[in-house]
Amino acid sequence: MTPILSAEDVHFSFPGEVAALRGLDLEVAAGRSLAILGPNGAGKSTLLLHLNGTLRPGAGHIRLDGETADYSRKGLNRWRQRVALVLQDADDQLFAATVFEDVSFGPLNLGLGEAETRARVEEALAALGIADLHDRATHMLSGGQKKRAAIAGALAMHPDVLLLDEPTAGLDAEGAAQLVATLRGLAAKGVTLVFTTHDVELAWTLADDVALFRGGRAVAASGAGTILTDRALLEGVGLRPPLLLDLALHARDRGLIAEGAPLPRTPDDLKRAMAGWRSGG
Amino acid sequence: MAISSIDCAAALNRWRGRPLAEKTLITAGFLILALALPPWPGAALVGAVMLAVTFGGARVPPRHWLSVAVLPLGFLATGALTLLVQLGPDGFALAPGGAAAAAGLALRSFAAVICLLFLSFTTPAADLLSGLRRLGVPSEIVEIALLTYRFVFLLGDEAVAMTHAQRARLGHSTRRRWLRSTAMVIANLLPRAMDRARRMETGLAARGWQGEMRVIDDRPAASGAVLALILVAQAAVAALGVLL
Repeated sequence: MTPILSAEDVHFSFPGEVAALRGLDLEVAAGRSLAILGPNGAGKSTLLLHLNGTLRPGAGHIRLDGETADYSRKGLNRWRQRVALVLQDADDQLFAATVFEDVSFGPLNLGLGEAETRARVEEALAALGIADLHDRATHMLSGGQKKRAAIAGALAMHPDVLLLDEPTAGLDAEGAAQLVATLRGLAAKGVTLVFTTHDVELAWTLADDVALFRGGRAVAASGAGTILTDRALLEGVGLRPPLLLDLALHARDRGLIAEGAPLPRTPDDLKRAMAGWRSGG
Repeated sequence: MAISSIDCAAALNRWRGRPLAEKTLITAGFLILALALPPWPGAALVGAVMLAVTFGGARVPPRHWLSVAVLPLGFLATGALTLLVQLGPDGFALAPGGAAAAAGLALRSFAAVICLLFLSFTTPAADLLSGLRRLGVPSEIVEIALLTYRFVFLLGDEAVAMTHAQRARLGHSTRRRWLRSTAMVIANLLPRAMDRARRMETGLAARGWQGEMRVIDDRPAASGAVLALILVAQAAVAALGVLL
């Protein structure tokens, strides 16, 4: 199947700085959730800005549905309608006075009428669980609420792909857990997710696939279960396997989880699995 | 910070959702009355009514209101005091009729300020700006005003954070250091504002921005009955102010 988005040997450097991307190859499969995992400064955010056409590769290509990206005004509009971006700092994204107004911005730019826009805004606010923040001033929200409002603003455009830069950065544990649950819900509805993170636990909870980044390149890309169990590979980029996965593998080695059964993705999954274990087993 | 307490009250008061037209009619109508009616009892009556509306109707927290009002009211009070004296051939002396003139000026100007504070404390800035748009002010100007307003808070937060960080490292321990540190905060805000503006542009472009910041204005329309009620109340105050 053709990947919905792909990067082919992409090089990019910011003016006067060392190269941010150096020969990056990456494929985003439709309907799946991809974690761009790597340490700070690996080029993760720069990649996201390439995937919605904000930055243009110095060399190499970005493809959308297998076709070379079109950077004309019209092409970019079509592109951004299908691929939405949520910035790391929600304050960079929220500009309007109230949450409702801000979320209505994208749909109106798609040329939708007022009734359709209203419906989309309500739907997006409900999907993020912030329907009650409808009329709140954007500068009076908490960090987690701002993040949700920013995601709602992207979601109201009904994108096929949602790009998220460090989605849980700056959120407290409760806010992060709620957001992860919401994103899992979106993924279950078929939205393709691409998110950057240096948090292996988040990658394991949320991602189907993982691309491991270092020095502006994807050094490995495969299923989350493959990458995140490869201790040597992870340690090569300064990371460790997720604790949850480590425990689950330990349980499987001891025969507590059947070979081939799905491994727990969340602490709750693990607790459910543990409920079936006999003491002393 | 005065602007943030105005902003909080405007966003949280009981009448935040009332239509802009009602609040501007209250403000403009009573403002005209405060200026046109004789100061006693007209302007005094206007002031009393507007205070009742501000605290009783819109439930603006008096502490917030007072912290903002003290500056203009204090300025006006000292201004009125100067009417008490006059500079004659023998130096300073009490001005004949000065007390009445000072009291009249103070009453009138206090009432006018109370009217304007009602509008600022009950109406979020965004509502005022969207009202300007409806009045035909070009949308470019309204958008710039709105973004400026939003950036005031973002940069204000950053300035506060930077100042705290400096204090934690004793950057404000002497007057000289304070001056130096504050200058550094100011110098740092500009590049930060530019960075933020650039990131915001990326965010807007990602949502299909093409130079026009259209959003759906979800504010309620004014009801004729309420507007009529306001006019009746103003007529009553005018009649009382003239007849009493």
